[in-house]
Amino acid sequence: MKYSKNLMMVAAIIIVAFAGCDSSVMEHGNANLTLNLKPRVGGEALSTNPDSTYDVNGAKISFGSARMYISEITLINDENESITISNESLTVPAKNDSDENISHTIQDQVILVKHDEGINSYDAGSWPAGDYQEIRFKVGISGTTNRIDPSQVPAQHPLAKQADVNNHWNWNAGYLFLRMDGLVDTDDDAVPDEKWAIHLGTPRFLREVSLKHDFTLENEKPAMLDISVNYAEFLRNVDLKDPDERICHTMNNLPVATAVADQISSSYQIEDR
Amino acid sequence: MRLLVVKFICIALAISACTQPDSGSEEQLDLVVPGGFESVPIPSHNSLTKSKVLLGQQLFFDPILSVDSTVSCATCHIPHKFFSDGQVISQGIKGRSGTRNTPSLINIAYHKLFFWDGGSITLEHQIFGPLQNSTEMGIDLSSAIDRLESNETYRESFQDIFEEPPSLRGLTQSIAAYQRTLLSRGARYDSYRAGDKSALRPAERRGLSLFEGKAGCIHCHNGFLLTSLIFENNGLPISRGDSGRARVTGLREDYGKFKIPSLRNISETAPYMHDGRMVTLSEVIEHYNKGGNDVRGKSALIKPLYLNELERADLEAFLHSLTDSSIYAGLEVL
Repeated sequence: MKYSKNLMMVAAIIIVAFAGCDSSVMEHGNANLTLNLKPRVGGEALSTNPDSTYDVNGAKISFGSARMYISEITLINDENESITISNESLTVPAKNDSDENISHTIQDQVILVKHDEGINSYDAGSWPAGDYQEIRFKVGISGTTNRIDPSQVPAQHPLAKQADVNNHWNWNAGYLFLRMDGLVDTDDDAVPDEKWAIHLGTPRFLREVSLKHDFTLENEKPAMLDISVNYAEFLRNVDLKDPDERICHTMNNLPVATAVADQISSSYQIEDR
Repeated sequence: MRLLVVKFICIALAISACTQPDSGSEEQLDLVVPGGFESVPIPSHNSLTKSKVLLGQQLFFDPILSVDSTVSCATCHIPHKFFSDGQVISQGIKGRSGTRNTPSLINIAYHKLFFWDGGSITLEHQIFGPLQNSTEMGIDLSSAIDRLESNETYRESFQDIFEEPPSLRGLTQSIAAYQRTLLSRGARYDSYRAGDKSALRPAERRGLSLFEGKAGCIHCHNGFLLTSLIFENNGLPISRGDSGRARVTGLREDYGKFKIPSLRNISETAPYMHDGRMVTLSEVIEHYNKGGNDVRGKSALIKPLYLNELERADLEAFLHSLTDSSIYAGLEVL
């Protein structure tokens, strides 16, 4: 009786151990995915060199900063299942919806895209090998993660308060989901000389991007998705020569914030390799 | 000024005789507060240690954190003015003016949201506001860290306390830790509440009755801080385009709302309102007595009070009893 009891326990442990494994992982393993986010302004590559100017909606502009947050990456496999992955967890102080102090744990693979530093390739984590048909992600930070205290996030984490270029408002709880600014020519001398700035954030302007694309992740084989990010498309419905549209810190200029947010989904496109 | 501040901190730490073990090697301070006060909320990620508080104090008073090294936190938060500055609108670097009156930092540890509009969620996070604001200290964060790294004293202090070079985390934690020690030590009002009926003079007692009754001040100015810490539109016309809480939330119903201030030490922290537009307490009382102005979004609580002259005087007398005389006297002695 004692022997059979032990045998049953061993069998149960083996069954539980196998049941705990994801079948796709068992069959296919994992692959590291890199997102190659190529910044464009229309048909041109984006540069934040002040001498690089672009014609956008009839305005000649240059770029100073060009940054964005990408989060909640989801892959849709060929069986139409949504696949997400968890990163190493980070617990930080935050506020809940009632403005009470809480500890919030983040496991999402958040990416801070720094196109103004010429960085285009970003680690999107390790994914189950397999066939996929779509990638989705949010441009911005959602929920309680957008109400954490960035001053208490370890410096190397993308959600940490950045010392060089503000990624989080000082006067509001929340990250700058999309930050682009620079100079615009307002006197038609072909020299951009007036500041323009569009800093988009707050939950109402969080947007999801969905890109259909058939691709395969092979076991232990690094993969890369090339995605173009068209800053001219973000600005399609903004007249930067107009002083009323030139500066948008979201809450001070909701019409411009809305105009930019509504162009987010069409500003990203898969590029075939 | 420096001696005065050191004395203030010594007092604050002296009343913190009770200690409890830290997870690290240093003892955590356990701040003692007057009867009727809640214990000071200390976030678990920023334990209160003596060395951290002293570093925060040093940073608070050091103009090294402004772009032209002329302005420190204490420029606008002056200890003998109860950590406000007596100005309508404070001036930052190069004489630049902001848009709001400097609030007192006494008892700031109890606040849940920071700035007049609650736009900052923690005391640590709040520090970025004045540091980076071009009308206050106007420094970019990388320059602030560079300066601290190039200062041997700071470099060693950060290493000792945070086991890392000067960082945004250490900078914000230490200044916030210091600010959490800026506490009330009681007013005559507290003595009266504790049972000493002689602590308030007759006019003040009548004022208290009005405060809690006919005038209805207590609807917003309640609890041990004499504020509910929520946001209300008290019937002031919008000035300088400042929409208050609506700037943060984007909600129409938050238009013209500002955080209800604590009335502790109110007689010592003129001028009043979020933009310092009222110079005297009698002006403030008159504003509420007439039911504020007819402005969009005014709180339903703001309506004519019909206080006569004597009642207004009694109410003002009561407000004077909220002064934290032990701090005031102590600072004045210096």
